[in-house]
Amino acid sequence: MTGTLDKSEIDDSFPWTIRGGDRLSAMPHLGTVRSVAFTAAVETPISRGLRQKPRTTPKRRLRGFVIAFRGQEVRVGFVQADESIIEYLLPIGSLQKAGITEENQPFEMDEIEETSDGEYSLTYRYRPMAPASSAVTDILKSDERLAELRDAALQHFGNGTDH
Amino acid sequence: MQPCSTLETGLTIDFFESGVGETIRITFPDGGLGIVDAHPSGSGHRPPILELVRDRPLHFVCLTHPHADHGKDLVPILEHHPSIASFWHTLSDVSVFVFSAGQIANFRSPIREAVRRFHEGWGRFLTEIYGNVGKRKIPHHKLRADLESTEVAGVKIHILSPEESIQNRFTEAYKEIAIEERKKFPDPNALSAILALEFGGRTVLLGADALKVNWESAAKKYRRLNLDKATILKVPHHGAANAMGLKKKDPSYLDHCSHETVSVLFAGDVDHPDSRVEAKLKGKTHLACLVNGLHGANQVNANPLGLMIPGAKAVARSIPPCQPVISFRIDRSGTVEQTAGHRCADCPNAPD
Repeated sequence: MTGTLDKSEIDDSFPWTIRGGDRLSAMPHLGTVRSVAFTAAVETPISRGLRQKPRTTPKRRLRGFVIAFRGQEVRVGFVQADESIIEYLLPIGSLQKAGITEENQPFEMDEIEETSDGEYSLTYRYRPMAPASSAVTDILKSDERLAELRDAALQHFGNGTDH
Repeated sequence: MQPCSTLETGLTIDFFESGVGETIRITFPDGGLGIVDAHPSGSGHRPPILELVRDRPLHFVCLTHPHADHGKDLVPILEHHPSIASFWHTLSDVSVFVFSAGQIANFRSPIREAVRRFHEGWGRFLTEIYGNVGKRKIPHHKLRADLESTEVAGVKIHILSPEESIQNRFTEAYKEIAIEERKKFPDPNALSAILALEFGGRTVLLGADALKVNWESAAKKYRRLNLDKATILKVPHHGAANAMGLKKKDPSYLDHCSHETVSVLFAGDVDHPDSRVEAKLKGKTHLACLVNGLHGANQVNANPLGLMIPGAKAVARSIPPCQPVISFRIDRSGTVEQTAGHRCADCPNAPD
C-alpha cells in the first residue's frame, strides 16, 4: 500500500556524514538506511559546516510486515494497493533498531529523496505500525468444507492409529 | 488401475521441475509408486499431478514436512487417487498443528487483514492435507528416526530424520501457541524426513528441507546402518546455507556423498541455492539442477519495487526452470542409468 508523506512528518535533523563522491553510507540515525543513488562529480569532501541544509522530498510510503527473521536478513511482505504482497529480504539492522522485532509486526517504510550540494540520494526510514508487544490472536477464516476436513483430520489422527 | 507390474525390475526415481517446490516420484520394482512431496510447476513443464500417478497403485504418499512448497500438490492425490496404501508424515500431534494453523499472532493496523490473508494459505494447506487423509481414512505412518526401516517391493527405506525429541519440541511449542503463551512458530523444516532408499547396493538420499541439526543426528544413523555413499542425493532445503555445515569441521550431508554422487537441486527462487553451497556441491558431486535461482535470477525482475536499499532483494517467484525432469533407473545389480535430464556441467544455459 503506498501513500504520500506530509512534509511535516519528515525528520531532517539527523547528523550528516556524507562526503562528496560517496555512493553509500549508513546513517547513525536509528532505523535509517541511506542509499545514494546518484552523485554529482564532487571531488573534495564537504565539511558539515559548509554544506547546505539538505532538501528533502517525500517520495512514497510502503506498508509491510515481517514474515520471518533469517539470520542477518528479514523476509518482509510489502502490501500493494491491490492487496497483493511483494516479498523482499531486507538487512535486519534498521528494522530492529526501529523496534520491528516480531513476526507479522506491521511497519511503514518511507522513501525520502534528499538533495544537497548537487547530490541526490534516497533515504529509507522505518516505523512500527504497532508495538512489538501488542500482538493479538487472529482466527483465520474457514468455511464449511474446511471445517469438515478439520474435523476429519482431528478424528482420524487423534485416535492414535499411527503405525 | 493397473495391477503392480512384474515387468518392472528396477527402481526409478523422477525429480520433476516444480516451481518453488519439489515433486519426486519413485517407481518401485513391482510397478507401484511412491510420491515424496509434490508442488505444481509454475512453468507448466511438469504434467498435472494426477497424470503422474494415473493407473498405478500408490504404496505411499509422503509429506516430508508441513510446508506447502512440498505438499500443495499432494492434496489432489489424497483427494482423488483410488489406491493409496499409506500416508507418511512427520507430525507427532496432528491435532495441535491443525488447531494452531487456524490462528496467528497479528497486530492491529491498517494491514491486519492482509497479514491474516497471507497466512490463511498455510492453515488451509495443512487442513486439506490431513483432512483428506482423515476423510478417506487412509492409513497413516509417522516417520521418526528411531523407527525400524521398512521395505517396499524389495526396496529398503531407512528413516534418518526427524528425531523424536525434535517432534516433541514442536508439539510443545504449538501447544503453547494454542494457549497464547508463545507467539513464534518454530521452523517446520526441522521436522523434515530424511529418507535413504537402498536397492541393488545403491543408496538414494532424499534430504527434504532438513537443517543442519537434522543432519547431525542423521549422520549417526547413516553410519550405524553402514550405508554406502549416496549414489543420488536430493539436495536438502533447496541448497540453503542453514542445511549445510560450511566450515571444514562441520558435519554435512556431503559426508555421505562421493565424487560419483549426482546431486539433484530444486532451487526455485533468487535466494536459493546459497552460492557457497552450490560451490561445495559442484566440488564434491555432479550437480544437476531443475531450477537454480543463482542462474535464473538475472532473468526476472529482482527488484519490482525499485528499492535502493543496500542488501535488499526481492524474493522472486518465477525463476525459469533449467530442465523439466531428471530421472534415474537403478537395476537389481546396482547399475545406475540417468534416463532423463542433464547435469550442470553439460548444461547449455549455465553461466561459466
